[in-house]
Amino acid sequence: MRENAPGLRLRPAHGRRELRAAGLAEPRVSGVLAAGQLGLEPTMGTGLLMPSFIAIIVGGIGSLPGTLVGGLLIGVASGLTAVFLPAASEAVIYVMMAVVLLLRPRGLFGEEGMMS
Amino acid sequence: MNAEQSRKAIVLAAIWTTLVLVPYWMVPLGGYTALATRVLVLGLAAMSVNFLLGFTGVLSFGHAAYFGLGAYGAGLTLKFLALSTPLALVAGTLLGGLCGAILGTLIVRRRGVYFAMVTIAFGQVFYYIAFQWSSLTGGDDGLRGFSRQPIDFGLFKLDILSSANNFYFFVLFCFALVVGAMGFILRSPFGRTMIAIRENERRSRFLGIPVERHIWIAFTLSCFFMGFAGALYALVNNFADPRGLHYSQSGDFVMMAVMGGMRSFWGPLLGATVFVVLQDYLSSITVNWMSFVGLLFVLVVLFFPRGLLGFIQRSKA
Repeated sequence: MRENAPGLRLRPAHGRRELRAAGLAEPRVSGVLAAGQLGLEPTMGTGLLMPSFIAIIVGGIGSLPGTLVGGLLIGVASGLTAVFLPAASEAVIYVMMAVVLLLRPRGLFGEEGMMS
Repeated sequence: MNAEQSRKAIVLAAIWTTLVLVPYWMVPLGGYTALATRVLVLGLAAMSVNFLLGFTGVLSFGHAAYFGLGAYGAGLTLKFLALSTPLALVAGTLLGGLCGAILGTLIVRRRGVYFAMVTIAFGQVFYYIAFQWSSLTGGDDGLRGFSRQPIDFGLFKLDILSSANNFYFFVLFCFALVVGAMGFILRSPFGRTMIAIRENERRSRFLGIPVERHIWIAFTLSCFFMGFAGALYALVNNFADPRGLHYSQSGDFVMMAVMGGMRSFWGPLLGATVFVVLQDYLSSITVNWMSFVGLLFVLVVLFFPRGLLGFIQRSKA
């Protein structure tokens, strides 16, 4: 797709820069929102990196509503497991990630062949 | 014997002589033998990752899980089953390798980024099992209460617990066995096929190579090597840690392999040496030692894409 962009008179470098700006701005907003919930520490990003990564994979790479649904799904799954089987509340999201990747690697709402 | 072969033989002889003589030159240089033991064990782990990454062309980001399983296998054997170092090594290797073999059947169905992500997912599941199953694994505190046992040769016993040099030579012997096996596999037709898959998977498939089965075998072998390295690591520390299974540990191994040079057989050992020595030296100065290692890693990736060993080889040629 990136190769086709110049033919369509899109400037890939240009688009990429704006994408990166948007991609950096959005976590900033979510960071402001999360600070009230989780508290602040300089390394908090590393703990959130994997869950958000998993949300993207479960929802489907390249799909915004998918990511939202994915985030909701893993959040609810982890919350429910914490009630019934507390020891597995963190492992369960990785099990979900493995199941999605094995059965439907494009995720719930992702497009076929996004990452291959 | 042509010039190329004799040059290789000289390099190999130099590497092994350096390794054998470590206890004699490391101490005058300000190091200590236990550091060299750690380098060997982590280097072996990085070479196992590279067996998969550099020679089959698939990136596993969850190999620390099999490393940690090996460590726990060895630790639990020494603690609960039998006071025998060789048995602990065998148990650790089998635990890591068999788990890898079983999960490998699922993992090899994916390629590229998806392969890396599935390996992370399974690796993290093992990490949380080790972390939460406190009654068996000790949970967050790690598994304690075992120590490496003297090796009984019948005529005499080799004390590897209190003598750092004896233990170093024992680890070097184990290292040589596994590295020999690795080199033998890579020279065999099977190893050549692995490299063919790395170079062009579609073409290998058209040539009739069962690609999935080959990647599975390579993955399983790599997990056995990894389990062995993990079991040795448990003996080095007399301790097994759940953080040894975490994906960040897998990242460290991949980093060692890439930093040293992932297309070369000895590169990961060089990468592990740089990583472990820098960690040891810098962590005595600053707690932020990782930022310096990370900076070096970024510089190596940007300027020497073939790794430190690739750079050395090119500047010689």
